[in-house]
Amino acid sequence: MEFLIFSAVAAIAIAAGLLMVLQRNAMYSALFLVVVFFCLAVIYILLGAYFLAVVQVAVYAGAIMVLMLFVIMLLNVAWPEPDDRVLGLLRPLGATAAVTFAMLMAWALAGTPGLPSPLPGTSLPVGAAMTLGRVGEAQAGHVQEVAVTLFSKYLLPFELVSILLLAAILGASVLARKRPDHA
Amino acid sequence: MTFALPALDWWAIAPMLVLVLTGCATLVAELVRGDDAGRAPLAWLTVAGASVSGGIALGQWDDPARLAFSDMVSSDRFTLFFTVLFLVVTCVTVLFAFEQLRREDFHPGEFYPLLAFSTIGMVLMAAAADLVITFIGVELLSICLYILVGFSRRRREPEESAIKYLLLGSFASAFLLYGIALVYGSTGTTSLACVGRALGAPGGLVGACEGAVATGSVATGMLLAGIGLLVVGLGFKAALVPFHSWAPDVYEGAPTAITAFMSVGVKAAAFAALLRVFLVAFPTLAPDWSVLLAVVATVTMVTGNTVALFQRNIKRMLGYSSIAHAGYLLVAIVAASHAGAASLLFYAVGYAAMNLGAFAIVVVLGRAGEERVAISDYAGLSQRQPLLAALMATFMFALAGVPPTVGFVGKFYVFSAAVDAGYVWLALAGLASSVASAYYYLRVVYQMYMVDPKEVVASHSPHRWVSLVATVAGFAVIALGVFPGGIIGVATASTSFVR
Amino acid sequence: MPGFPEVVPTEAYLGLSAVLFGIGALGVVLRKSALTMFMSIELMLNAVNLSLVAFGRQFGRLDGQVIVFFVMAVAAAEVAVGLAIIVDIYRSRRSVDIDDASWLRG
Repeated sequence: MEFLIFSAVAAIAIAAGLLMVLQRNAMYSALFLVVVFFCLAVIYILLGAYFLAVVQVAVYAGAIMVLMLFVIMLLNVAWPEPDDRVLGLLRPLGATAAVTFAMLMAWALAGTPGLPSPLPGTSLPVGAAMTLGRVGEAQAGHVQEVAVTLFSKYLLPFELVSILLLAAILGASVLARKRPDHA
Repeated sequence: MTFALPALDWWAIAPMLVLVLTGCATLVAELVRGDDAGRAPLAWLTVAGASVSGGIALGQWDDPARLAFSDMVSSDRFTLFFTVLFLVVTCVTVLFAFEQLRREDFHPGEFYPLLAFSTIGMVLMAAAADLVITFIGVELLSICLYILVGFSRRRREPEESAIKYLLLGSFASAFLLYGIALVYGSTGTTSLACVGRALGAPGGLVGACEGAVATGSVATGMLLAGIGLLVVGLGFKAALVPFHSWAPDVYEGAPTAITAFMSVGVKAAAFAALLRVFLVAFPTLAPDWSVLLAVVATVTMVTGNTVALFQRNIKRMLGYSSIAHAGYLLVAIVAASHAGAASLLFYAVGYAAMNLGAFAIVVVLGRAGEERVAISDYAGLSQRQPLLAALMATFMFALAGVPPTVGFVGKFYVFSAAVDAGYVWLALAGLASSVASAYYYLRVVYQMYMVDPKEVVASHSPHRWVSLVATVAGFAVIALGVFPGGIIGVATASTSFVR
Repeated sequence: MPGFPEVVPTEAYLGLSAVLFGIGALGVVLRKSALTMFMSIELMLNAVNLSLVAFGRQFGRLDGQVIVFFVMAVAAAEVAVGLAIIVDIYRSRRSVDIDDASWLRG
């Protein structure tokens, strides 16, 4: 069952991803991207990351994509891209690069003689009841455990991200300001 | 599940905390004083904050090296060395920008905080003991820079530079992140020291390493792919060929103060991160990655120096020259030795002095709305402003690597570290390309001294502070070239974690 | 269910992640519109997130998931700044040639 769900969702995600990339209309691209985000949320549930699945929908499909759609509509261009003038040459090149990359990744994954799993001696500090690789009885996505990890081991990066967001707010407000001369 | 707050070693990150406070203080100060209160107070507030931060860093020099905040950052001499370097670069940028803010109608209330925050990003890249911190440092720095590059509200080219930098920068960040994910997947940890230990590196400052798996020193395909992606991600920030295509355009479009900041500070930060990652996490895999990096270094040196020959705009020329210098710095990492690491730190200081000096001259010669950045604008400068011309000549000689300047000594240390590591061909390639580079550096000198001025240019306002920067940099370039021992000693002490 | 593994192996998630990452990279290379390139980068980041979560499960630890939160915050910041720049550019050259692709093309 789990495998079937995974296969179906993965197929939808790949199809939507391809459609997003090949779509000329930015509006449709954005909607296909939302589909990919939802697929990933389902996959996070399969992986036992329940809280992350919710955040994925709220932040990506919710906030980030709404922002994107807002801009697309604000600029009032469904921007059908101009027919490729320069890209005649770039296209095969880019495709080659992407295929090479995919092959490299396949080689890298195939070269891994079974993924490493934790040493028997090392304790599992969080979710000690968790069985490796099993979803369901795992507590891995439990909000409390995520929070404990986030605010203990990852406290410093968490605080640093707040500076990063402050910088982004500042930047957006600078850039939104009207220009003195032309505008 | 019990919650235990980690040990909060505030003192270890005190220099960064001071910078955070400085950034927030400038933000609030602008609100309190209002828009027209003038720019000077905010500039001095930033310089004062950076000075306090640097003072703390110097005061921590004799503290024992340690990991802080659940092994996220390391507080050691390497961190402190780069912290002080970054703070100097930031202060110089503030002085440069002070002139430009007046000319280009920048809005200071956001400029200084963003500069302070990007400095925090750089410090994080040097201090990172965990790949998560490396990532966040890179992103903090980058996001501030995307904005700073497009900061000028008068001209239009900057925003083109900004969007180009942002798209390519985010693209590179995705590769960096994928690299981090694959390293995590191969070793079960993102802590640099723990990755190193999992791969069989001898001790050092290692944290708890919960969850790390011992993989032995044989690299799996996945790990090698991860390392390759890390090279792409960090190589982009360091403007290594072939990930350099953004650099000349962005350097040209950005305000000169930011160009100087990027070509010195960001580059040094990227190399600090590269050094940390490769010599703490992957020293045992050096045979695997050093050849790759040697090839990248060669291509970078040759491309940078060759394309620089054809530039007519001095900012673009310095942009390509900085790409070539990234190649020299990478040679120091290829050596993968203590001597190599120390030579990188020394070269970073020397490069900061010569490049900031050169940019100071570019700023001094600029005027409102017209930056005067064509190399032909320097014609006959020796007749009009002999002191500036002499300083510029010094910087050009130093960048070309002529003794007795710091450029020569730095290259000597870097290339001899490469020879000691068995990379004779790499040192020869570097030597050959730096000889070729002399042509374009000396062309500026030729213009200044041998060509008559095209027009009589009215004298400008004195630019006291920027001239002071140029003078100090000129002294530093010569002094470090003649007496390199002090900085070399400090650099060696700062890299003792490299074996 | 005969013939199917009961639990989806981590490799399958990693494969999906690699494919999505490749599609995103393809989009950045192929598209000309800054907005679509942006969305492609988001897709790449999401692909990496999937890898991180899958690795985290493999190791039975939460680090992977927690890193994903940071990636989301970073992505949000990048989008905010990027869209601000795009709007700014559009505003200053609406009257000029929008089809002039020099700025659309990274």
